[in-house]
Amino acid sequence: MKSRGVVESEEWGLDLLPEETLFLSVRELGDRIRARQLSPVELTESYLARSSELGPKLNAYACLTGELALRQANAAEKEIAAGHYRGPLHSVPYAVKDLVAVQGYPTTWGARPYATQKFDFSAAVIERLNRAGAVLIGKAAMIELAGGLGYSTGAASLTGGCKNPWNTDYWTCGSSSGSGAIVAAGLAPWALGSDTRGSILCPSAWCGISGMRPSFGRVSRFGAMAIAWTMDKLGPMARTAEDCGLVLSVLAGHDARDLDSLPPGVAEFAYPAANRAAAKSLRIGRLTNVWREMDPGLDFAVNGALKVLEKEGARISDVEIPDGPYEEAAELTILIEAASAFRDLIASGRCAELADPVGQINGYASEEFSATDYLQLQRVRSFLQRQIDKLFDNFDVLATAGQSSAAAPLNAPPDEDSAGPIERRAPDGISSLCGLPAITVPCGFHKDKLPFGVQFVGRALNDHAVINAARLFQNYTDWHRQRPPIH
Amino acid sequence: MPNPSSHHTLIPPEQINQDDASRISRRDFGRHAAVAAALALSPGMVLGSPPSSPQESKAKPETPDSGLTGLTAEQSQEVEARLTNIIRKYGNRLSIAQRDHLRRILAYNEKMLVSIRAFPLQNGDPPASVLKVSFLEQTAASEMTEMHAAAHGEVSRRR
Repeated sequence: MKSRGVVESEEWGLDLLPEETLFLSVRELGDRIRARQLSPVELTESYLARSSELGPKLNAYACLTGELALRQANAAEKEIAAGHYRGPLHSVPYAVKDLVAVQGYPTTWGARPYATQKFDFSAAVIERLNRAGAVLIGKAAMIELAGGLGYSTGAASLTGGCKNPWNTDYWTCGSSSGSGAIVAAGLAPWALGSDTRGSILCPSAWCGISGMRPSFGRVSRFGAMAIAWTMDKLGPMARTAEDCGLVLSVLAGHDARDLDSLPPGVAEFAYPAANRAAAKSLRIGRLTNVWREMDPGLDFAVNGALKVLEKEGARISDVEIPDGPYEEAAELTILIEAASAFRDLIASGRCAELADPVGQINGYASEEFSATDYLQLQRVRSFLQRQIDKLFDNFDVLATAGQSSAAAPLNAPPDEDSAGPIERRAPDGISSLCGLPAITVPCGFHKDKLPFGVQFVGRALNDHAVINAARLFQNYTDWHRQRPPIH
Repeated sequence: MPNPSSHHTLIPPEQINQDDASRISRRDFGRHAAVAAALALSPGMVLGSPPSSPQESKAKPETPDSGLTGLTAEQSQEVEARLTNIIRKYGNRLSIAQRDHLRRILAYNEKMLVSIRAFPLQNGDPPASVLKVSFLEQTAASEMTEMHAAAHGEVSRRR
């Protein structure tokens, strides 16, 4: 297959596809590939060339997997040419956060103590993507241990601070930092991230892309690094909400190797849904009490987004999160479970090799929690979970900003969040604690041309609701079509 | 996340620079002290989550204390007891600045625990993490998956 509109790359000596092609969505790329208007090999070569050129400028990758990618792309091209099309991800390139095991390649968890770590098998999600014919082009940089032992700046990574493609003096947010930068910069059409408490949503919001945290248990975590077993999730970061749905339909499914995997018949996710809800039936609750402070421009952008949905038939009304120690329960759960997950690292003293001064010692403090306290907070968690679930009797989705601000500078002073009052109702903490699906999509820009995001949270297992709300918004706006000024 | 620990490949311990790992030189002490000063108000960030924006951070007052402010005498004693235990176990790894930093982390953790411990619960209120008998169902499902894979000529490996 030979694609139209190619340009020549001096460095690679290849005919590369134009930038506008590399910013197409998964759906659009898949349609062109299936129609044999786009060569999988050329597409892969073009993303690899762009990744080689721009990836180091952004600190976006832990490593590229060029040899594997070209092997997969060649195989896919032959299959498709022979009339065997596997589905929407067939031959579409992607990157994976470097906490997911890929056989034959380093899996560093973004941390110096694991800089040479390799696994002799691939994670469940990689198995699924291989079966779907997807093309892995690289492993995305990340915050060390995905923030599992704490961190205070964006520099807390084996690969250095990840730079935001919209302005390289700014951070991408973490911990799926590289995944956010890669998609935003057009180095791949989608990337896999992980989210224990906001690590997909924040980088997606700050990088101006669409990122989704699926319901807890929908995607197997077998072969992925653990932080907190009762809160860890894997999910897609892409250009559009529709792409998140397409990718999730491949990732989702029961896996007996992950004890928290939803049962067969529940874990699977079909996209699009057979009975897609009409806009008129969409009930949206605008959360009014979740952020202690919010950028006024962001507040304006989120309200503007909800007006778009209202105009298209959605019913919007204000709602408050009832009081409760959500944030305390979320953070304590992570602290205690991470102390177990990284017990060997803490006991060995090799946590001292972590880049961040918080990560170097935090595990020692977390070992001091009692089993009684852990069980108490898990019992409180059950109560909070029921309390939040009741909100969805009246709403299909809850809406608020993706984060409370646009991106922060990379050289910002160490975070002081824990010194202030506890932000008890931060939406990331609530939805992560309760295993709820959430998505953020771009909805505007800060005056400094940094992206803003709007977030939709749904009832547990109602992943379709959050995708439908975001997709409806994107049907009538083009914020997701904006490209950062990076070349 | 399930993850076979037997597959971990840590950097060999002999490659660790002992000076870096446990002993504190004068230069290191100065560096740690500077870091501790910078982190005087950052006892331990939210784990697995992004830091808050610097704009929010700058709005907070700078009060260089041990983090014990707001705790009762009993709670402060619990913090000190925990710090003593950490020093008993790991004291040879920790600088003065890191011990002070740990006190602030422990104090913050204590503050979070207050609301959890005070939450009214009945004897029958179960924890979110409970043993699921569905393990048997999962095993059965796994076997079905393997049978399905075998039927389709796929290779299935147990790990």
